[in-house]
Amino acid sequence: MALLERTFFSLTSKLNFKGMRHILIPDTPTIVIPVRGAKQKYHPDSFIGFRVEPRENHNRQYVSHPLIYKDADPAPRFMDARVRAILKDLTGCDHSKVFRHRALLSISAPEIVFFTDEQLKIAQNDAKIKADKLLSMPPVVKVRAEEVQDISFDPALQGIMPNFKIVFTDISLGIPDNKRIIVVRENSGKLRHANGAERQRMNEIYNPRKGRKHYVSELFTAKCLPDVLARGQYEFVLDRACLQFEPDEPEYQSVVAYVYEALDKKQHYDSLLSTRHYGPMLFFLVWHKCLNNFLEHHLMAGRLDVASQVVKLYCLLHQKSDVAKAMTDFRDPMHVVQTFVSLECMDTSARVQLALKQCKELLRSQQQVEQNVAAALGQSS
Amino acid sequence: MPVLATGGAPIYNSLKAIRLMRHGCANRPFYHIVIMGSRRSNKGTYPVIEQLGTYDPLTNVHGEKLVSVNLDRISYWMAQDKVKIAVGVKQLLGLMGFLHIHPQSYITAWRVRAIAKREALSKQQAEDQEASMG
Amino acid sequence: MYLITRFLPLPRLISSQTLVLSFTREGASCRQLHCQPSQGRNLFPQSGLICPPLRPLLAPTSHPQISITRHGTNFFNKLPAQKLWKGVISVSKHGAQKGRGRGAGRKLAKDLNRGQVIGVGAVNMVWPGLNAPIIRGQEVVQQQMLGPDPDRHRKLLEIRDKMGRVRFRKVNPLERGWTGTKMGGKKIGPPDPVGNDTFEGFESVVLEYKVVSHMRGDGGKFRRVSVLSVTGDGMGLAGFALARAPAPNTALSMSKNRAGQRLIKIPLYNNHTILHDFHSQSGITEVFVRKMPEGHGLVCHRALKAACEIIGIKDLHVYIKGPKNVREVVKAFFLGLMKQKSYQQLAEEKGLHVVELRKEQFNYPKVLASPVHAPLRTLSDIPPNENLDFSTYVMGDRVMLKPVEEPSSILPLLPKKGRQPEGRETFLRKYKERRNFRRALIDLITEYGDERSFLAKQYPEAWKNYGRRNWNNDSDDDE
Repeated sequence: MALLERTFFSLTSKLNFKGMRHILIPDTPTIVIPVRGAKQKYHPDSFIGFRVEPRENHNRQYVSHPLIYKDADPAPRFMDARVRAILKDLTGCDHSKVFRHRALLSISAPEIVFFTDEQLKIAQNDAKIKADKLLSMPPVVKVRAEEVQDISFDPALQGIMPNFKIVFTDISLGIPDNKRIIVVRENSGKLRHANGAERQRMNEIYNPRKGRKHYVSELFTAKCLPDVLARGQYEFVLDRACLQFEPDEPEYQSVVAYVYEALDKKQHYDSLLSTRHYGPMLFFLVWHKCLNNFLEHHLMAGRLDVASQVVKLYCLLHQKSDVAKAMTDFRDPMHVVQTFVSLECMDTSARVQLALKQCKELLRSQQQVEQNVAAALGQSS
Repeated sequence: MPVLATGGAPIYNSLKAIRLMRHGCANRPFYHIVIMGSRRSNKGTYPVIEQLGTYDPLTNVHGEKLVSVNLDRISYWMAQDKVKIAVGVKQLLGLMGFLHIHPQSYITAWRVRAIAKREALSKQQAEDQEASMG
Repeated sequence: MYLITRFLPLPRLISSQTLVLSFTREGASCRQLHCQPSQGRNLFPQSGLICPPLRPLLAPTSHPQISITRHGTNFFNKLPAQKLWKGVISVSKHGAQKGRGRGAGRKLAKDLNRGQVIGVGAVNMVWPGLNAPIIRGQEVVQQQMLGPDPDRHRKLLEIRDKMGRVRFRKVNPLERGWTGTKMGGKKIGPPDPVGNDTFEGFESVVLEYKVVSHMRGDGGKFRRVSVLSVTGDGMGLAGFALARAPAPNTALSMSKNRAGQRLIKIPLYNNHTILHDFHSQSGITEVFVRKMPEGHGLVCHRALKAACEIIGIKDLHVYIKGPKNVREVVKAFFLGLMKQKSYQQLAEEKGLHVVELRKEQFNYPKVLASPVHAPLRTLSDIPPNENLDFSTYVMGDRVMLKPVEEPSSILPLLPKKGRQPEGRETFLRKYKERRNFRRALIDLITEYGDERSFLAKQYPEAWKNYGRRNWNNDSDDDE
């Protein structure tokens, strides 16, 4: 404090202020009524500004969800080659869905060409590479820390800006958004770095990207999002979220978790098949151990292979769990799923056990049918 | 006459200033932080040598006043010859932390606090009087 | 019952020159014409009356013609209406041959009875038995003079003014062709059923409706109507035909029926456009037809547009080189449509895969056809100067000149050819003020439901559309 005083007086030594004292004024929003008739030269807003009324906060809030990656970091697990292989395998690659016409892309005249076999194969290979690119999954990372660094504190500036703060952005060319200097000077005289929401807004204002908004889009609010999801437009919301946010933002993770939960409740997993969101969705369900609905859905349909892959994923993500330890033979899908169900689902979900039973029945009947067909065709089984 | 590759007014050998230039419209000011000729007569007329930022004097819905500054280019121009910085811009850069805080900012802050204190005092006196009368 | 002749002749009634007066009340008898009205005495009190005088009942101006006298006749009452009008309208034989008195502006006989009702005249009176019931309830209706109707004469004149000329009947806007009065582009319904063919789902359109004539050997012009029409079911079946007949309706039906007998099956791509670009010719009229994607619409000659709607093509571009004679154009177009090759045919011809690449589908190679009978060629099999470009191959090695398009979204940034750079500078300087307006407007309407700022509720006097509109129609509670 003494140091600050000395610096202050040295800077203003040429100016003659007597009896100047620091008066701490609480940082409350108050209406400052200008002196009538006077020149209002030293009015708080007049240094370069206008009369200011207290603004209401913009009340729109993003939807919130508790299941965000805030404790353990999922990134190393997500980047694991085995995990990625399983996720890619389960996502699938249906060309008619991956390459379908997206609604906002304008239609141009189709080009028809003559291709030899080699040219066709090259084109199809290119398509596969493109498909891989289109199906590249948005990263699953830990939520970024909300701590905001203070830079300096100058109490002599108190009161200079009642009811508002000033946000400074560095618009030098060639700096990426996450490295940009964005600082905020507050009424208390504190200079700090901008927090996540402020950063996002400033970056969008001074470096706008198509599809991104500098305000809270109504789509992601509790008012709108349930309706959209009720219509089954999961992919649309997830695409918009990827466009709007960064993967380490808490808002993104909340929105995305909300969508996954809604999807899980209705068991509409197939709507995300052959899209880039299937992998992160599955990762989310496995990480947070919400597999009951998923297993029930796939076992009822008789998709034992999918169920066993998911259990393998579980073992990779929760390596210290009982299931991982109890698993002996990863090659037998029935054994894998049985172990999981017996250890994890006994007390939590009776439906999964029922589904497993149904699955067994289904497989048995399928086998029976195959045997009968083979016999009918005269082939020995 | 030399001209910046990005376009703008020719750079004469006269005194230049980094200053605020008012844009916007009636009842809605908006300032550009520019480097241009330092004379008062230059202010309303074009063209500027280079725009170095913006300043919006009206608070937005979140209670912020937005200032953008091209620090890279301001540093360049400050290092050049015959360039002065106007008081308003100096204050903004001071508050930003790029330069020292300008004395004018301290003065304004002190004066605001003084007014507030005076008003609080007179209000207190009025209340006391009422209490004593009633 | 009273039967009164009017002063102005009523063609139907003028033959009845007698005046008959009678009362239907009991005890009343017909008053004979020879009866002289008693002078001065009012023999017509309210109750009980036998012979009322004639004069007080009739308006002074309308005197019945009760005797044929010298000063009472004129040609108006000598001749029937038909004969009178004949004097006005008739055309001599020679004149008829020349075509006089025929056509749109010719005079017609005016029926002067129109707008008039028996019993209602210039004298606005209640005549029981004629324009009013005799007994109404328990009361006997009396003859009564009502107030004069000032508009009656005016209305009659209005009616008569409208009559007398051939007038064109207005066509419903939805049924119009290319023009309000002409037949070109007008739909004329499906062809008439022939045996078992009912032509269900068919529609015909007139492409050309001409009144043509030639000189006949036995004198005079022989006028006919020539109609070119196209008929089709909107799913690829269509035909066109020309027919000539003296009567317009005959010509129309002949044309569409003939077209119905000459149907061809046109192969379409996804039921909205042709299979591939083609070039076709009829005489010296050349037609360059290009396949277009969905939503492009029919960009072509109006006759071809009408024909395409009938065929079922929704997206097309056609450029016509040479004379734009409708018959030739339609012929060339149909010829080209018929000559289209299917993808399988093209694959067989070339011995290569026919693959479709769509930009909005990331150029995913979609194989439309592969050669089945012909051997699949490799690059080494193909001679170096062979044309492998699909678009020129289907056009018969013709290349259509494409105009250079400047995309409008980057127009402000590119200098237009020939413009001075100072002009561009000025434009940019002025444009930057409104550069973001559109985007900002959309954002504001999305956010607030109106073109306003977040301060508008606090300062409604500055809110331009205060209370006037809210696009989103929602409450601003969350703001």
